[in-house]
Amino acid sequence: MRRRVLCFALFGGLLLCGCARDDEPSSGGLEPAQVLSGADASVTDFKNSLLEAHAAADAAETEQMQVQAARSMESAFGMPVSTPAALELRQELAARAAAIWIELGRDAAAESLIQSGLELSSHPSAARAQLLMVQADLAEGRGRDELARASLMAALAINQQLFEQEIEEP
Amino acid sequence: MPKSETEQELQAAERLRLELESEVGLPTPKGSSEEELAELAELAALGNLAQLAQRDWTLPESPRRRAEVISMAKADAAKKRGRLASLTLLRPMIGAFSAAAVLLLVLRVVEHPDDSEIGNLAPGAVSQTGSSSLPSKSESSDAVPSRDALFSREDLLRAQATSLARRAAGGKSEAEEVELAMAWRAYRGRLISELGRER
Repeated sequence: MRRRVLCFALFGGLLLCGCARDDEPSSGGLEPAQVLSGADASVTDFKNSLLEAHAAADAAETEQMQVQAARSMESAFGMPVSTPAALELRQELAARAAAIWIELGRDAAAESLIQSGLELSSHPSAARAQLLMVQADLAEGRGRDELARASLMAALAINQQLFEQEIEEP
Repeated sequence: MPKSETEQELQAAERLRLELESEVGLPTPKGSSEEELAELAELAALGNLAQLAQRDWTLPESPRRRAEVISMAKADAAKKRGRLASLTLLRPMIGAFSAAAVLLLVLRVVEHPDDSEIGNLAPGAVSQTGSSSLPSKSESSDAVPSRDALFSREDLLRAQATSLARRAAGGKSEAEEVELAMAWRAYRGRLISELGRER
């Protein structure tokens, strides 16, 4: 009789301990689903920075706002995210920011950003073509007609290559 | 007194120049240089601008040869437009897909109003363009059809080609640059959607 009571008590005690442990939080105070990988965090940060930068450029009305928008885009451009979509988005950031610098007369900043954007990826894309168009604008403004023409030709070639893909691969 | 062959050829080249000018919609001063005529000839082949990379920038000195090259460029353009016309027939279908995608997005927002991914993309896209932008693709089964992405990129490429042609002619059109910017906004939204799926 006593043994049965003891067994029941022991069993009941073990049950209570197990239930209590289920209520304890997991290590670090976070549920597993809330823990983000480093890669996910960087893509999310890049997306948020990109959206903010483009929104700032769309809303820019004064020169100061344009400068801030261009700097935001440069900052987003510099984020090390290298997926195919991210590379094209980064090149487009560089193209748009460089166009703002050209408009503000800051040719050196534009040239540096264009070069960085072109070196980022040589893969033919609409963004790379856009960068070359901005390079042509910069060259034309500096009176470098040959470079302007070469940049336009390169942009045309990419644009046509992509366009033919669109037509031939419905 | 009958006109000399050279004068007739010059008149033929001038007629072609005017035809090209009205076709492309870009002004060309009378007595345009060979280089300007060459650019116009290539602009007439919109949709096949790669010819520009393959041909010389200047036309031959002979007016007859000049007219021949311009005619060849126009013929190439007509061929390309024939192919583009078949794609144009698909546009109503593409439009229908786009409408379905917008409807799916609306339904998704109604079901999940706190979805931060849509909240980050859709309001920003609408405020930037003032018009409907492409919805963000989600990881759910309500994904936007891939043809929508092609439609978006095609619009961008067309707007880019138009802007390139204008630059080649030595200028920029504000209306065309605005159209290019709007096309970029739409395509950017598509790239951002792909970004979310690449994780």
